[in-house]
Amino acid sequence: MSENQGKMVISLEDLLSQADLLKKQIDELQKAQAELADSLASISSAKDSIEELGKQQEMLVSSDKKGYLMFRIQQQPQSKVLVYLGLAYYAEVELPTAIKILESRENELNQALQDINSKLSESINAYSQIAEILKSIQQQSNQKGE
Amino acid sequence: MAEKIPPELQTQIVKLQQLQAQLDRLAYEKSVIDNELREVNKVLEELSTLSADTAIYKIVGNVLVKKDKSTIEKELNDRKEILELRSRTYQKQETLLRNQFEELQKKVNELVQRYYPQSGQSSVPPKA
Repeated sequence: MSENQGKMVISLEDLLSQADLLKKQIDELQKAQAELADSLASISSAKDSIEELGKQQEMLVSSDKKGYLMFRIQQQPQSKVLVYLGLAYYAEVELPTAIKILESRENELNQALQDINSKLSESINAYSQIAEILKSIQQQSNQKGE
Repeated sequence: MAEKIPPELQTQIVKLQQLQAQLDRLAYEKSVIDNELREVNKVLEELSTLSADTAIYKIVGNVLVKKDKSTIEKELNDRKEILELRSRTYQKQETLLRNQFEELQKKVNELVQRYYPQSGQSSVPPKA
């Protein structure tokens, strides 16, 4: 990078390496975004399950992830559940407490997701700008070649 | 043909790149520690809202082992102390390395000015 008559001069190599760096950053952020969205969906599902636990009813349980086998269980009304606190710990708590803990975790994850979304839009914006510059360079070199 | 970089400048640039790599590695390790510390604080915060007789379980391998709330709190507070100490150590190391990096950066810029007086600005990018 150098300065010519008050103008900033950036080499093509610098631009390309910057674009490559941004692409990697975007990929990482999108991966983190997907993981957070997955965790939030799990929490939402856990909260829905708590709603059902207070009722006495017949339930079907899958024996595997894909649901090749289902069997009936008689659900007794539950007053307590084991809820994940973080790290490697679970606590056996009343249903309203479990919902509070899950909502606290949900808020934290939503905040993290917001942060990632704003970083992601910044990175995508910067990447688009570099892509535009590279596109115009290519067009100019094509015109010179003609 | 591209001009050969003077050996003195080449050596300093290599040192600068090594410092940059060290700083990046340190920042990554510190972020891992800080993330775990945040999680420990989160669990301690949740535990503080629960009554003393609440049954707490810890995952050990594939089983959940029942433990005392007070035992878990002690375990987590000990872990927190260790993590805070490590975080402070990383912080000191980072400050030290950053100072070294900035000094070396100045040195490289001076060498660039000496060897290439015609170029307007140095080609050494500032550390983010």
